[in-house]
Order: sequence, then C-alpha cells, then structure tokens
Amino acid sequence: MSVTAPTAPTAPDAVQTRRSPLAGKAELGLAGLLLALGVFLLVDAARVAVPVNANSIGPRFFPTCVGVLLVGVALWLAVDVLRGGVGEMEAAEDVDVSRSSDWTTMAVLSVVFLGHALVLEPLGFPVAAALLFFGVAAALGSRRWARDAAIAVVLAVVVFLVFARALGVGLPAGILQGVL
Amino acid sequence: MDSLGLLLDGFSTALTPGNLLWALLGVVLGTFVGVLPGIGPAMTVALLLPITFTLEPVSAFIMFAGIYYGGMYGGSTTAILLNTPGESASIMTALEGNQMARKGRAPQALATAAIGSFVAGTIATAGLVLLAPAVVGFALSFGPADYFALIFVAFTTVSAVLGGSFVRGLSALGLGLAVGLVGIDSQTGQARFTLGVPQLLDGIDIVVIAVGLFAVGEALWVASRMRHGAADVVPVGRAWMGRADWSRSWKPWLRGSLLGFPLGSLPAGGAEIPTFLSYSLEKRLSKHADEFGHGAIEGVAGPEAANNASAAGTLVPLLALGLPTSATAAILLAAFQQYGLQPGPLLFEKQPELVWGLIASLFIGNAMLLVLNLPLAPLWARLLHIPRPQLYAGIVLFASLGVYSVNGSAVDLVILYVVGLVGFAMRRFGWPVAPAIIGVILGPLAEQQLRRALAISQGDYGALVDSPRAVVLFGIAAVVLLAPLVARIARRDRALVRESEQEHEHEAV
Repeated sequence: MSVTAPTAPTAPDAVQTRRSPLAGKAELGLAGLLLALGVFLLVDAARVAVPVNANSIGPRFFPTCVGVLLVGVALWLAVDVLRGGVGEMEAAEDVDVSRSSDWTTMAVLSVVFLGHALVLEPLGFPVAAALLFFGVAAALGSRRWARDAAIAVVLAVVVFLVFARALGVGLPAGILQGVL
Repeated sequence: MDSLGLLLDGFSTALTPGNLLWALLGVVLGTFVGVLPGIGPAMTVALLLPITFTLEPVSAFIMFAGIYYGGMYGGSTTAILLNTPGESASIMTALEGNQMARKGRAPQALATAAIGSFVAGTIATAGLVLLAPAVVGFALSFGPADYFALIFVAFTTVSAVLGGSFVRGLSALGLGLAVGLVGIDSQTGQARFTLGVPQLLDGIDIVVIAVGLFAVGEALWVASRMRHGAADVVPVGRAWMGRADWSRSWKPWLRGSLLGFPLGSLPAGGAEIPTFLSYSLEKRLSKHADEFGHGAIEGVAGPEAANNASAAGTLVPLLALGLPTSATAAILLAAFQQYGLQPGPLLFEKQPELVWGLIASLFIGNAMLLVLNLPLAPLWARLLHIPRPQLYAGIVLFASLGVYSVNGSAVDLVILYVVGLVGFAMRRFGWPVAPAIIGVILGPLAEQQLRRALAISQGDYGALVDSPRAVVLFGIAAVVLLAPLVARIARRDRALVRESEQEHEHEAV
C-alpha cells in the first residue's frame, strides 16, 4: 500500500496554492458560467423568430430580462468572491465539510453513472441497474464485493418486476427479454 | 359553513378503502425515505414523485399528502438520533433532541416530536381549511398583473431568505429561470434555447431537475467529502413520555403551531425562521432555561411543532394561489403540473373533489403517522445503520429509475447527471437549492402572466402597476430586496472597522 499517490499534492505545494491570489476562488468559475449562460440567453433570444401575430411583447422579452439578470448577478457574484465572500457549504448527515474534495471518488461515480446511462437500453434495466448499484457502492468505498453483488442483483430484479411488470412502468428488459 | 361541507365531502373521498390504502402507503414510504440519513423532505418527494404517475390524480395526491407529512416526520427522527440535521429546519431539533437522546431520553424526545407534529399538523391543517377558501376568494379577482407581482415577490423573498448569501440566492434563481425557458414557447410555438436538440423541445422535465438537484447532487456531494467511521446512532426503544414531559410539552406545541402556520403561509419561504423563533421563545419562557443546550424537552417540542405547522402553512399559497414557497412545495406543484392541473383559485372550483380529498388526507395521514410512529420508532432507528455506500447506491438507482420512467429516454439520464453536477456545485459553494427549483417552475408562469398583462394593455408597461394590489406587492419586493443590502453594507463597514483595528493592534504588538 503506497502512502502517497503520485498525483496527490505534497504539503508545500498545498501551502503555495493557498497563497496564490486566486486560490479558494473556484466559485469564480461558476460566476463565469453564469455570465456565459446570460450572454447565451441574450444572443439566442435575439435569434428567436417573432411571428407577425405576436401581440405586445413576443417570445424575446422575458428571456432577455433573464439574460440581463444573469449577467448582472454573475458580475455581482464575481465581485463578492474576489472580496472574499463565501457561501456556507451545505451541511448534511454524511458530509464532513472539514475535508477537502475527493475528486477520485467523484470521477469514479461519474463514470459509473454515465456508463449506466449508456448501457441501460442495450443491456436492459435489470443488468444496468445492478451494475449501477454495485459500481456506486464500490466507488463510495464498500469492499464487500460478494454481498454488494448479491444485493445489487436482487434489488435490480425486484425493482424491475415491481415497476415494469406490476405497475406497468416502461423499462427495457434488454438482454433478459423473455427471461424476466 | 361552506368549506366544512366541502371538507366532509373530502373525507368521504379520502375514506374509501382504496384511498386509505394509498394514504397509508404514502405515510409509510414517506417516513421510510425521510428517515434515511441524507434525505430531507424535498428529496423524499422528488424521489417518490415518479411512483405516483401510474395512479389517477385523486389517489396520487392522497398518497402525496402522506409522503409530505411522512417525510417531515422521518427527518426529525434522524435529527434526534443522529446529531446532524438533514436540513436547516431541523437544526434546533438536532441540537436539543440529540442532547436528550444522549442522556437516555431518546423515547421522550421522539414522543414529543411525534405528538407535537400531530398537534401542529392538525391545528395547521384546520387553519388551511379556514384560510385557503378566503385566499381563493381574494385571489379570484387577481388580474395577470397582480399575479406577476405576486410571483415577483416570491422570487425576491425566496432568494433573500433562504441561505445566508443574497447574491448566491439570486444566482440560483437566475439559473432556475434560465432552465425554465428551454423548450417551445407556449404562446408562439417558437423553439427557444434548445441548441437544436430535439429532446429539449418539450423543455427539461421538472422530475429530471428535482431528482438531479436533490438526489444525484446530494450523492455527488457526499461522495466528494464523505464522513468516515460508523454513524453515531443513539439506540432507542418504544417512544413514550411521562406526565412531567406532557406538562412541559403542550404549551410549546401550541405556541410552535401558532408561530409556524402564519409564517409558513406567507410567501417568505421555509420553515427555518419559525423554528428558530420558536426555539428562542421557548428558551425565554421556560422555567428550565438552564437545560437549553443540554436537552430541554421544550426545545424539541416547540421547533418540531413550528416546523410541521409551517409545512402545512406552505400549502395555503401553494393550493390557493399556485405559489410554491419552499423546495418541497415546488416539487408538489410539479406533481400537479404532471397531471395537467394548475393549483390556484380555479382548482378549488374545477376540482373540489381533488383539493378537499387532499386536505382531508392531510388530517388522516397525520393521525396515521402518530399511530405508526410511536410504536415503530425502534424499527425506523434501525434504518440509520444502513452503510452509506449501499444507501447512496440505492438512492442513485431509484433516481435513475424515476427519471427514465418519465419519458423512457436515456438522454434524460445524461441531463440528470449534468443537473446533479450543478446540484453538487451549489452545495459546495453554498447556493441555496430552493430558489433554483422555484425559478424553474414559476419562471414560465411569470412570463405567461406578464405577457397576458401586457397583451391586455396592448404593450403599455404602466399596466403592471395599475392596480393598488400590484403596487403594494412590488413595494414588498423592493423592501425585501433592499433591506438585506442595507443591513449587509452596515455590517460590512462595522466588520471592516473592526478588522483594521485588529490589524493595528497586531502591528503594535
């Protein structure tokens, strides 16, 4: 078991980044996204065709207002962040806000979820859901492979039978078509 | 008494065996999901929303009434037995209730929360019966301009009140409004902001947004900084309380109800303020003020009652005006919209069976919760021991199931993930989620009313402030917008002065 992963920042690095003026200001990225979204609304709203019969304000007016709001709020937010304003991280039962972000876990979780979206239709809900359950549990640190696999299969099959067969929700059976 | 007669009709709708079964199922499911750690009432309703789509409207809403109150109840159990509140309205319950539990008084804490919720829920639902028809009568005369002003007030109050930072509340609102614009414009049939993606022509389904923000966003948030080590759950037996506890609890229950219901029914968002007010009120009035902070039963009884009464109060603007003032209410409104129903004065006229059946079910669900939860407390407590990886794996599985079942489209799952990332970022940077979801739902209604008002006036913007009602409403919005700004500037100046003073001191040292 290696103690330090090669990509993990070493302690002096961490200190250095903390001293950089933009460190801890990742929220500026969000402000940038808001600004981009606002500009997109303004530009795209101007492209919406206005039918001749549109009375008073057409389909452009309200989106333009929202676009202006977004641009204004994005700038305000940027100023707030630069002045050292921070929102309070949301507390939750299972969240330890004093820890720093664990990007590896998030990346694995993301891959598992997007993979699930990809295989849902070809493989069918029971298989895709079982893989999703197993993958998420493993990503979040469970190491009891056999038990998790068993729970995943039973849960996926039971949920499929209850929702698709008993309640009539449209879920794909996929490769298990005819079996379940 | 007209509304009494309608309520009796409602009871005859709700008391059929089939509907009683749906109410019971809703109560059990709501409590079950609500008890699960990490799941607040809003996520409970969002996750269970797709399940009800296979039912007919009346049964679905009867089940929803149970889920709504059950989810609230489940959340307080978690707060008491596990010291970390799932939402800000449970902070006070967690504070006092967990202290009680640690001193071996968990059964009494759970009992005063359960009975207090029942008392408050019953009083507040009665308040709803009395107040809602009056609001409806008043709202029937509302024109489009008045509605627009009302929605505008809701936007400002929700952004200003929820969460600590006004600019972050507004950011969340703006994001929600932008998402609500996507799709075909209902009045001219023009596609807007769809980027040419055909799946976006119908807009982004509200279920995708609610489940994404609450379930997937929460799962990602937990994944990013998971609390390790076994959960510290206080073991508990059957919930009960003795004579002394009763005599210390009943007044806080009543005061909490009277505080929670009116504040909840104002379009000012959230159960947070009434629970805080109730806590400080009980602390001041109690003969045992020294026990506060160390497990005073009044500190659980009052805020829990206020929390539940405010949840029922939220239903007044939701049902009578179609105006959601909390995240949970916004998701309930989405549920109505899925059935093509628009809550508001006309719903009371057109669908009395549904509205009054729903209200009657609130009374029934409340009673069921009391009967269920006093003896079942140990069973619910066991849910708190579910290991977190498996718990969140289950949540994500049901999120995928619910979202896929809406349109049968795997594209929705990708959108769900993206919305989940947004939900993660919002939690990370302390943006309140409620303004976003309210923006998505109320944005299109605001635009509709605005365009209607300006169509009537033939484009004259003065029509927006023609009626005195609209002027008053815009005035309220202006006060809400400006008051925190003024307060914040004052506070910042003071803080700056203090900071520079401290710096000087440091320099001197």
